[in-house]
Amino acid sequence: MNEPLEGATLTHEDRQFLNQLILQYAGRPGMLLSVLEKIQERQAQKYLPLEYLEHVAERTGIPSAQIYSVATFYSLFNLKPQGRHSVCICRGTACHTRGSQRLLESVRLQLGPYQEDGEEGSADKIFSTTADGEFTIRTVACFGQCALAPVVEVNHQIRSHVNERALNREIETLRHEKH
Amino acid sequence: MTQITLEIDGKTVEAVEGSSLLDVARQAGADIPTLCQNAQLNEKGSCRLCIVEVVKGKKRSLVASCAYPVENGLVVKTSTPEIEKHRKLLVELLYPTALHLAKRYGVKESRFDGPRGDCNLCGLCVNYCRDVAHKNVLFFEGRGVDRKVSFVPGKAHECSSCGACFDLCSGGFVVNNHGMIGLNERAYSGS
Repeated sequence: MNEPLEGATLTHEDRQFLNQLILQYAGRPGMLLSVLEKIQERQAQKYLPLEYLEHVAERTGIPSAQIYSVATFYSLFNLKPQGRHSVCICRGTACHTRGSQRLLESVRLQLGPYQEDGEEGSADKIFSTTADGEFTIRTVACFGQCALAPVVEVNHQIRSHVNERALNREIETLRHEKH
Repeated sequence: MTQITLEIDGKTVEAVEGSSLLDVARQAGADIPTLCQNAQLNEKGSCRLCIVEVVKGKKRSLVASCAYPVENGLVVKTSTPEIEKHRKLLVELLYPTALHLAKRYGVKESRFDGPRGDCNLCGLCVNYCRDVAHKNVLFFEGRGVDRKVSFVPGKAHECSSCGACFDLCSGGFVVNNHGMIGLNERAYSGS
């Protein structure tokens, strides 16, 4: 089971982008985090391709072990391509008491099937992307917007006092949106 | 390098100020169990097995001796019924790893559910691989309840020719899993 790392090879532009990025942040505290953030931002699918991480390791001398450790520590970083749309349901106490578990179940039913990984999680922690790569559903422990419970973030916009039907409708609209 | 005096288990002991209480106590004959510390590594203080009682002036506290620098006038007890009760609970929390300690403390089962049966996240393998062997194959992935030890994809084979941390592992994780691909296999097979 020791296959070599397979993945897309970096283009010349990719390499240039990375090298410039590394130079830009060289020597500054928190350099690695900034570099990783910028890499993820640039990816259409908002994730950190492993071959980019390997290149950063080579260029900076930071061991890949350290980079993987940092990338997996923070929820901000994704190691897998994300769906075009993101739906994030709050599972904090206030939102839970106002029905966010049901919202989560409803959305999950609406959007299945999912990629094989089957990150089944629990009623509190979900992180799956639909098989067609269109939606990523995730949960958050708390948005800190408890007065607006239940809270759902759709494509980085907070929706407050969410009711199931409105949410289902919004998702259907996104689904049928042209690219 | 100031010489100071302190009392350990009723004996007067001399030591260099600032040296590790664990080391000083062991030199004075105390039998203190440890798990997470190793002479070659900087990291320590996470397993808490080495706790001892320290009285400084009027204050009595339980401290991790591996991370406590000695001072003049301390009164230390390395084993009391209270300390042994704590150590036994710690061993139960570690069970079924650290079986050598389970034997010593008469722990045959655990009331608790651990995430892995063969890894207690002590970090000895990760720290050794990084700071002593300088191979950087092992690392900690994730955080909290999802924290686990992983191997860098593509480098796992190096463990077979190294094996330096195998004896450090009190759970058998490294021996059982070296040669396996780590880092969330799905992440990189999903390119």
